[in-house]
Amino acid sequence: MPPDGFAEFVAARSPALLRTAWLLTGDTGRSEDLLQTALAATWRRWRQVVTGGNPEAYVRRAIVTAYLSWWRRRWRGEVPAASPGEAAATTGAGDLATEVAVRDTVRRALARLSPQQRAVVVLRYVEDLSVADTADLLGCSPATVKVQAHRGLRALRADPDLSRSSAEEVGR
Amino acid sequence: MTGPTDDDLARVLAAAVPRMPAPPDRMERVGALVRRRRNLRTVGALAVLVLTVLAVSALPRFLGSARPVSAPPIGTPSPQGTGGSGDEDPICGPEPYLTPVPTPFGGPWPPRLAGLMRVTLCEWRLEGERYALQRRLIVTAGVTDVVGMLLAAPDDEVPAYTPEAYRCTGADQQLVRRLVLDFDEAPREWIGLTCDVLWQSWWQRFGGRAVLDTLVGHAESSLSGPSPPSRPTS
Repeated sequence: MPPDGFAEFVAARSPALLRTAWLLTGDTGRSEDLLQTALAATWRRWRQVVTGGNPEAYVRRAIVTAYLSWWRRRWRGEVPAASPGEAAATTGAGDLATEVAVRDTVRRALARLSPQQRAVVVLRYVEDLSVADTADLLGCSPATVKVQAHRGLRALRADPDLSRSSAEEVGR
Repeated sequence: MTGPTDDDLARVLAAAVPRMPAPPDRMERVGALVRRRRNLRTVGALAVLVLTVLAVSALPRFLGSARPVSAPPIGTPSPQGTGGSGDEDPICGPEPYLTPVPTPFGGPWPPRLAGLMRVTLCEWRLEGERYALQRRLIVTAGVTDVVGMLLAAPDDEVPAYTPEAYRCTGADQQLVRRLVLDFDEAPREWIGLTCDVLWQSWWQRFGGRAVLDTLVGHAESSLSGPSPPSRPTS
């Protein structure tokens, strides 16, 4: 039996946490695995995690830690190809091709970042955490976060496909 | 014309995330993971208990025939595998990732290298669910070459960097490597080696394969040298 409040937390916050996991892995299946690994680690310490006051931050840290650990254990390379499951889960048939193309562009661009840069960019700019919160979550110094974020963003900006997608996004 | 702003990039990244319906059995799967880990911990604790009992029972016999044990002489290449027993090696340390290695994120690169006396290449191979230590090369000759390579290891800022540097090919996918650095006075340090990537704590550099080749080359030279090194006694 899960501890009190855990199932409700999972139901409420999993979509946001899964988004973080997808941006780190670029793969639907692996992001679900990553989330479940992090949730399992949280389950065992749920009481302390709740007492700490920010369970979502705890799970997000567990996701990033597991992601970096997986990478260090055995890096298999990224396969920037859309899986059928993702395409099927996408709604809005008119924009399907555009959505899949943008997703593929983003996946390829993120795959060019180092795992650390990717984690920092996702936490800082997609999850909108401050430098201090990102550093705290990753267990590194704020200066490290700034350096990694700078390099990561510079690499993303240098990607012509992603720049085009950004321009189109702004134009909408 | 200016490039996309940080906010533009963030919006594109966020918008690219696909809709992922929650699997109906997510909680069951998480519960199964928790149970599996709990069982593993129980088995591990039992194994430790059994080993402790065996060790305590064998202690009197051991104390009766104890001899001072000397470490393998520095400079002795030891290319022998350790049989994949999964036991903790005195130099290489625990099987990687069976025991989480503390990684104090934020450490600087290059690691402290002054006074480096010995580099040990430890190589584990994935066998089923475990990593077995397959190779341990202790190198002292030519350590300065290794220091030079580590100091000059390029980061991902260099033009030569490509995403392919991260990729593992063939047998590399099954291997985990660690460089153990021993100093004359300072405490031991280690550097992870994943395919071509060298990493320590937060930082990473490229050129790991060249370091690997150099270490293996020095070890082989030592083995085929005119005065064969003495072999450590077991």
